[in-house]
Amino acid sequence: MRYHSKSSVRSVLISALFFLVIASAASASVSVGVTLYNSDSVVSENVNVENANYVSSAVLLPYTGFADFPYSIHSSGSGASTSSEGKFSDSISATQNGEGAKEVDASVKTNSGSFQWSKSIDSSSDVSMAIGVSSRITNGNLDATYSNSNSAVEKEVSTWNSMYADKSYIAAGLLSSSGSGSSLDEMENGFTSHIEAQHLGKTAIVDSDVFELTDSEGADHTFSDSAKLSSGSASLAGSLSILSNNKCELLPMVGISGGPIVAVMKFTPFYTDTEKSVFEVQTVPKDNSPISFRTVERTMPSNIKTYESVTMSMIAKWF
Amino acid sequence: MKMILAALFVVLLLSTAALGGPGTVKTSVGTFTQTNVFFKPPESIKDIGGGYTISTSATGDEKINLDFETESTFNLNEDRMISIDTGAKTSASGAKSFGMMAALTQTYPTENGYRSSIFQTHSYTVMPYLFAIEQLAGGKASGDTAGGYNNNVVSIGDKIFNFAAKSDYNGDTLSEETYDPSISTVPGFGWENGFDYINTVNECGLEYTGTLSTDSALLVD
Repeated sequence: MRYHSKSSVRSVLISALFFLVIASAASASVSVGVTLYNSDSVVSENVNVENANYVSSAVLLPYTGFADFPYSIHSSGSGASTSSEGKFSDSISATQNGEGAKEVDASVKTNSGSFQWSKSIDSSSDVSMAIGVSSRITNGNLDATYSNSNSAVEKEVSTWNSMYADKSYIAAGLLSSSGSGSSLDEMENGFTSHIEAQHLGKTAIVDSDVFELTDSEGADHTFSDSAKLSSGSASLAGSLSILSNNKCELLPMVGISGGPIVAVMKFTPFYTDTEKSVFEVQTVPKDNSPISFRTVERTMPSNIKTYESVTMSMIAKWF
Repeated sequence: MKMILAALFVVLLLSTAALGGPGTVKTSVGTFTQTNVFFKPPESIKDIGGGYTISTSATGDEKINLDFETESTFNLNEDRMISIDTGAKTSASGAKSFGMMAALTQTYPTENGYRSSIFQTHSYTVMPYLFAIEQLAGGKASGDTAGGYNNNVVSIGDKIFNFAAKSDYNGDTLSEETYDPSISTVPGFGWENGFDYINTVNECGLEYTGTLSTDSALLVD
């Protein structure tokens, strides 16, 4: 008897919502805004897509524990690009009993790339929400911003004859983002990246550039970045490496910017509110000049293999 | 592919000491020395310091001899930073692998915290047979400039092989290696070396570290 009573209550009071967004034609853009609320919480989501699709579903209950459900609002969704040029933005906000507003946001735009993302929201005794994003570009551009109520990460990456892949996770109390890339062959390649992290009143930026303006084989490059912003600490890191093949000698030169391969990294720290510098801009190499590389074919017995690399890296931590 | 081969080389170096079988390591010896010198300029309430760290180790079958000597000079420059000139000579015999790391560190206080710079060099030599090695490694660090060298003379019986690397941040060549091509007659020989320039700024609650590293590996099939 009790079972029938619970079933009938479920059928009457549970609201299930489902929406599907598709914008796959060239330059087609679709926006959707959804607000779910009950006696406990208000959850809002705004999604904009261009050349992407998105599917989301939600369960809305009167209160947590109703019909033995562990939440009063649950929503999950996922989307993906449908073209090499696309973008999305997904913004989620929530309050519980009118207090403790939380927000997570993600937006990605790719040119010659792809992306996919998913989101989940649960309102029970507390509100939890998260967005996970992965994106990839090949010979293209990535513009991405990720943020929650306390922190933000911004990425701008461009690649030539190179690829880059990014994975990011944005929750109410944690924002992590990491990416890595590499050249696709040893000639005419390069990348530029701008990674900006804002947290705990400070903003730090790592800018990295590599250009290989050579039409002969000799060296590859790899690069990576990582940002982790949690409740009481922040870290931002970046690195890039130039690697020779086993036929060539890699000659790195400091203070000479005219070589066929040029690389430099720059670190900029400032206070977020005032934009006043925490300390002056730092560079690798330290003298603010790019490092230049030449590759020279090595004449060695065939059974001798040599591998040479130069790695530039930056890491910053603050609390 | 290059990354994979480089990773394999690292695994090879590590496994040489870790695995049993024909390459079983029965003995290993090492030295570690660290010196720090602090100056207190009259107008400063904080110490200005610097030092060096040198670590060497060798592994072999039965008996390894490892002789080590070092000499360093410290000077205070313009009441702000110190200059360090260090040289170390190590001789090892009866070894199957030999590794070293040497670092110079300068630390000085600033109005909002402190800053430091580190110059370090490292190398690792591995051989399928017992060998003798004499290594000269050294470096100079003064103000914002640093540089150093890492020379190795490897002897197997009557045969002598020379390997050298140098790095000079002041000049235009960050890293330059000299290999001995006659080592092609010794399959299984491996030599890795590198230099690191590390700068740290710790001010106003933000700690930044920037590093410029070179690394070179040689393998004989």
